[in-house]
Order: sequence, then structure tokens, then C-alpha cells
Amino acid sequence: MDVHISFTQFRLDNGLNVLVHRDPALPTVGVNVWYHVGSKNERPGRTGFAHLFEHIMFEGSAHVPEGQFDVLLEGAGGENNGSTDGDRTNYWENVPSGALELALWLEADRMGWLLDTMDQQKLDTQRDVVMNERRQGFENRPYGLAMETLLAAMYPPDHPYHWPTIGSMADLRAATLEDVSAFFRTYYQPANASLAIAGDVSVRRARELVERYFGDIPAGPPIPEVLVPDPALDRDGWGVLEDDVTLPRLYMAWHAPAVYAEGDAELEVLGRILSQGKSARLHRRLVYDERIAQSVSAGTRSGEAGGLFIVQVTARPDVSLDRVQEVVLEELTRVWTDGPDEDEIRRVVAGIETDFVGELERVGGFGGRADRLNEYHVLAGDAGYVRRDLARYRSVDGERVRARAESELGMARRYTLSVVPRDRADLAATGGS
Amino acid sequence: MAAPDRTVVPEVGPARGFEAPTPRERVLANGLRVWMVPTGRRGLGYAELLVRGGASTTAADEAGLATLVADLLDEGAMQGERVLTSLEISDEADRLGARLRTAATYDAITASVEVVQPRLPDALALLAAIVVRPTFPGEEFERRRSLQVGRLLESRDETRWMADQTLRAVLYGTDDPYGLPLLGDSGDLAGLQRSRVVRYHQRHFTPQNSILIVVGDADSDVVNGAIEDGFGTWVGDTPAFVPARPSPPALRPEVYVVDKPGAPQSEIRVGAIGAPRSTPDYFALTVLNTILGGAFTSRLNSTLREEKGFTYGAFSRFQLGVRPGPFEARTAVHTPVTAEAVSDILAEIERLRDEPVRTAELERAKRYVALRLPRRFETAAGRGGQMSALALYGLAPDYFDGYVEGILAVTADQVRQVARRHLDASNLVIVIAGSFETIEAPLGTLNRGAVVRRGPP
Repeated sequence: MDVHISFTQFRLDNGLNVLVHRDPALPTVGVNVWYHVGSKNERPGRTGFAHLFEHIMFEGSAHVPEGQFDVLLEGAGGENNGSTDGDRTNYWENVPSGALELALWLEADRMGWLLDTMDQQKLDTQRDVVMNERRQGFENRPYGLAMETLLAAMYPPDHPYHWPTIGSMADLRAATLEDVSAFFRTYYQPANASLAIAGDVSVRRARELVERYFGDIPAGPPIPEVLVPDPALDRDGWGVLEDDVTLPRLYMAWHAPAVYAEGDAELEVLGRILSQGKSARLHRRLVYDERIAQSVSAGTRSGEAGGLFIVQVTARPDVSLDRVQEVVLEELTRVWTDGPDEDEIRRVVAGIETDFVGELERVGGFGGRADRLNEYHVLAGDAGYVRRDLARYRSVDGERVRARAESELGMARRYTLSVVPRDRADLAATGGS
Repeated sequence: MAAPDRTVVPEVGPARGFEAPTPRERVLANGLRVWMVPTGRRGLGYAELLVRGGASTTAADEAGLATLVADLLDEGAMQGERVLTSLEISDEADRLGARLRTAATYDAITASVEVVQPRLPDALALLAAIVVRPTFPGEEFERRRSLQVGRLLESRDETRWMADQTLRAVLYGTDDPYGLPLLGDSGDLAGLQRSRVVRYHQRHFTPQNSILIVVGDADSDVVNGAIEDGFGTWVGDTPAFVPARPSPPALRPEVYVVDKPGAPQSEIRVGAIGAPRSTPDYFALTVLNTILGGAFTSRLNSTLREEKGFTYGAFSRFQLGVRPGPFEARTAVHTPVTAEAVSDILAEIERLRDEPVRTAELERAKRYVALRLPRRFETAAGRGGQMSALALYGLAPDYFDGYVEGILAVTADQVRQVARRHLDASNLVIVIAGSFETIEAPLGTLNRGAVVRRGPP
């Protein structure tokens, strides 16, 4: 089975990269813009700013009054959203084909002329919204503070992955209008963006509209480089969080290759061998046979500046995480000693093939074809990377997974975090085991 | 090229025509209806077996049974003469790269599979085995029941879940499955025996009580052969058991708070018993909900998020079921503004009853709903899901042919009428999961009755 996205690529004089993919199966078109800026471009004291800025992008621009961005799109039968991570910020609109021009006009206006109508009230309201997003997803959510605790332990303070994309409450409060202007001028410029259009549109029509609306957006200065210090841990570490939870949970993390780098695919396959399916090694041991866990997950979380391999086990009530940690290490040792068998690899690769075909069913939205083209262009340096991406997984064999598990996990330092019910620090995993 | 006049909003061209797929129906000799739905060349294949009933067809002391039945389907089955264990079923699905899922809702139990099209016949064989001939091994029963108790414990740590379930309990009472968590409660789960699972399967999993949706190549002999082989010999004709339902409890003028001391946010629900999916008000209710809280620019989100910054988002929905399901307006707000947010939600609902919607807002809502119809059919699972909803709620296979017209015909008058009919002030209840100590006094000033602490569902 083949995965493929046909596309036409061109670049405007101001540096904007453009990708067009035609598929008239439905009378709809997906517009997708990636800006190559994320929380790794932030500076200490202003964490969370890239994401706060994403919110401000929906609040109107020179020719689009506040509130009209969404009103116009919804009135045309469209929907839209955006997201921010460590490396990039993306925005998309899914619209009936007749509303493509509207969507491009809106995207172009905020790419070129966002600051003309920027004011303190827009910033203050979205700051409040984002602080509530943080409360909802972090402070008021079980285990919600685990990931930022883990990132802070895995990366030194001057590493751009040290802080979570949502940022800290104090830094969100500190953000100013001057920060908005400076960030826009530095990062929101055509040469730092990629525009993908996928669906019911001809290449000619798409090109004509893009040139009309984006052609005269001024080019910007070069993007400042992000310095990435070596994050290697010099010893194993253990942390404990008490939370309003009933089931204890264990996180174990190792440094891993960057996204699309050598070894990234092997570790993703390893994660699935450990956790996907009932006979996956950790699921079988912890959930099925010994029944000391409620659920397990394992896999990579990889970005441009490096990756993590994370094993997460939610234990049954009152189960000691020392015992869970012991079983995880036993199973990992088995993998890097003997390697997985052929059937395990075959099952995992079949699942990955289904995931590829499934994601590419949609032209727009998060993970749809337009978003994929941009991701491959920005992060893999080749918009047509999808075949090679799947080939990475298809070429994986047991020995490569074994060797990678040994070098990245077996011979490396790790950080272990226990999230336990209040006053139950006795359940936490320790270094003594 | 000359720069465009950016002060002019580009005109939106006419929408290209779209025809929703209409399933081709065939009926197997045993009475099983099969809907074949065409799919695109490049997408996945999908199959779903839907059994009517779900949690609604469990007795008062069987809370959580439908979920347990669904979870146990793929924990052991017969395929021909082969006995498949839990791990063998999982491995077989994984070898096919198939996403095999089972789930219970308040109205149905479904088993579905998503897979690359060439492997759809093999996936259908596996789907048939777990649905028609599950073995419910005793050891797996104990394991799944224990995991379900664990999921219940996890859910109870979530403020959001607490608010959702408490709203159902207040609206329907706890003698009605619509008022209980799908996961059940620890007490009932502890008392459930394996024999209840077997009996549920015997009573409800029959060809007459089910429908099979297949999204794939409808003309493929291999696909059709797999359907016949897997489901053709399925027998069972015991009439489905539908327990009597108590009338909903009388609502009291009280504000219910599930206490979570120190919570930084309050999870707010303003709800009512809404309507069944079969309501003749369906189109008007859909438009009403879009205006109130179904979209980003809806009134609730515009006020509570975009104007006041109280929340990350505020929405509303009618969960239209076989029976009248709950309506809810929902949001999570910063704790200090809880009472003001509740007051704003009530005011927005009242405004829909009292004031006609203005034309621009009405047209935007209608177009938002009608013109997004094609995208519901973009994926194989999306197509299948749309079709299985038609089957469950007794709507015609060509139902979507009149959908866009139906939505676009809704008037401002109709919106106000259905607001009055379904969102009467006397039917609305207020449920909050949050810090009781902090929000009790401000909520008291709303004059919506006593603010009472309520135990977890």
C-alpha cells in the first residue's frame, strides 16, 4: 500500500513557501499556515509567549475588525483553529471551496498587518483566556503538573525545552504589548512561514490568489538562531509530586534523537512494542498478568532540538511504584538484551501503516494533508517526505530496535517521576531499587 | 501583480453541490440489515456492528453492565472451530493493522474496525467473531470488572466528569440509566456476575436488534463473502428486554455543588432534559444550539471567553438520544467569577426565549451547520458513524438529502419557539464542581434557591 500526497511547490519573492495539493473529492478546501516559531524561541521570563501570541492572531488585523475573523469564516461555513508547540505554530481553516479567497485574505491580513490594530485590551483578554487554559489543562487536572515537572528535570534551565509551551502564570502576567510587536516583527514574516492549500482547488487558481494576497507582504530580517545546550543527564534522578489523585502514576524519561533523526523511528516502534495491544510487553506484564497497573503508554515525544522517550504507567490503587519501576526495567532489559521478535515488529508496522492512511484521509485540520505537507517542509526539509517517512518505519528490524534501545535507554541516564495521592509519598519510586 | 484592495471582504462563491452517500441496504437471511457505503479510493475501510439498547436496557442494579459487555466482547471468542483468547484477538487485530474498538453508550453497544481496505475482509471476520460468538471467559470477566472499577476511580478525580455525571443524576435520578455513569458505580460493579453479561448478550445481540454498516468497496465479492461468512449464520430471536423507566424526579430550586476544596476553576453545567433525536424540532434545535453555544462565535463563548476572559471556552449541546437526552451549557471558569458566569449563562438562555435572533446571526449559524455537512463524510469512520446514527434513531438512509434545506429553512420565530419549548426556566438545573467554601455565598446571591453540597456520583 502506498502513501502519497501530490503537490506543487513555489516560493514568492518575499520568501513565502507555498504548497498546493488538489483533491476535488469533496467541495471543500483546507488552508494551513506554519510559522517556524514555538516556545523554544522564547526567552526566560516570557515563557508561554508563543502560544499567547497564537491567541492574539485571531483577534483581528488592519482590515479585519476584532471578532470578525471567526464571524466571517463561520458565516461562510468554515471552521478554523491553531496550535503551538516547542517548534512551530500552525493555523488552519477548512472552508467550502467558494470561500478559499476569504480564508486567504484573512491569513494574509494577519501575516502582514496584525499590529495596526493591536491594543492592550486584546492582549489582556487573551492573557486571561490562556491563564484559564492553563488552569483547565494543568492546575485543575489530575496529573496536570507532571509533564512540566518532567521537562524541567530533563533539560537544563538554558535549554529551550526546559519549560512547557503553555508557560508559567508569572510569565504570562509579565507579557507586554511591546513583546507582541517585537515577536511579530521577528518571527511572523513570510520567509519564516509555509502556506499549504489542499482540496477542491486548481493549482492555477490557488497560485493566483496566493500571489494576489501574499505577494506584497514585506520580507523580514533573518530569524535569530536558537542555542541548544547539551541536555545529557549526568546521573539518574527521582522526583515526587503529590496530587489530588487516587491512582499513583510513574513516568520514566530518557533523552532520545530529534524528530526524523537516526533512531527516532526505532524508538517509536519500541514504544509501541511496549504498550500498544494487549500482548505488548509492558501491558502484558503490568496490566494483564500481574494486574498492578491500570494502563501503560510508551513512546517518543520528539522535536527539532531533541526528543524524549517516555514510559508512563498508571498503577492500581495503593501499588508501590517501586515495584512498577522494577518491572519496567526488567522488560526494557529484556528488549535490549534479546531484541523483539519478528511478529512484534510486523504488528507494530501494520498499525503505523493504518495510522498514515487514516491521517491522510482528511485534506485539512490538524494532521490532515495540508498540515502534513507543511510539517514535512518545515521540519524534514522536504514537503514530499511522506513516503520516506513511512519507509523509515517499514525498514525497522528487531536488531535495530534492540541496538537503539540499548544505546539510548540501557546505557543512558534517566529521570523518574512519581505522582502519588496526597500524603502517600511512601508509594513513590526510589533510587534504591 | 497589483496589490488587492484589502478593505473589501472577498465575496464567497456558491457552494459546489454535494451529495451525501446513500447506503445500499441488503438483508441477510437471518434478518440482519447490512448497509453498504461507498468510500474513496485512498481512504481506510470501516465496519461497525451496532446493537440497540446500550445502558438503557440494563436494570436498576446493573449500572455499568453495558460497558462491561462491550469491553468483554474482544476478550475471548470463537472463530469457526478456533477458540481465540483475549491476547490472540488483540494480536490478530494488530497483525491486520486494524483498530478494533468496542463501546457502550446510553442507547447502543457498538463494535467497530478501521483498517486499510485490502484487509477489510479479514477484519470483518474478526469483528463477526467477537460480536456473534464471544466466550466471556471467567478470568477475563474478573479482570475487566476490576479495570472498570479503576477507570471509575480515575474519573472521579476529574472535576469535569464529576460535573457531567452530577447533572445527569439530578435530571434523571439514579433509578434511570440515563442518570447513571456508563462506568457504573463501585457497588453495582462488585455485585455483577458473569451470568448477567452472558444473559445481556443473549437477549440483545440478535440479528434483528442490530445493523451492520460497511464502508468499503460494496461490489467486492471478497467483502460481501466475508459479511455472509461472518454474520450469515448468526441466530437469536429473543425479544430485546426494555425495562420500565421511572418518571424523572421533580426538580427542586437548588444549586448543586460537588465540592473540590481549593479548585482553581469551577466546572459549570446548566442543564435540562432536552429532546429525543426523533424530535420534529431537530433542525430548529440545531440552529438554536449553534447560536447559543455550538460554535466558536456562539453567544456563550463570545461573552464568557472573548469578552470577559473568564474561561478557555464555553459551549452547549443537546445530547439527543433514543429518549430525551440532556441539554447542557458547559464551561470551566476561574473560581472567583463562578456566580457571574452562571448568571451570564442563564441570561443568554433567557434572551433566546425572549428576543428574536437577528438575521445576520441566524444566517451565520445556519450556514455554519449546513455548509460543513460534506466534511462529516471525509473519513471512512466519519461516513460509517453518520450512517449508524441514522440507523439507531430510525432515520431514512437518504435522510441527508433534505438536510441542508432543512437547516436553511429554519426561521427566527422557530428558534424562539423551540427555546421556549425546550429551555423553560423552570426546567433548568445548575450543577457546579468546584470549591464549595469559595463559591457558596456568591452563588446564593443568584436567587436560584439554596446552594447545597452534593456527594460524588
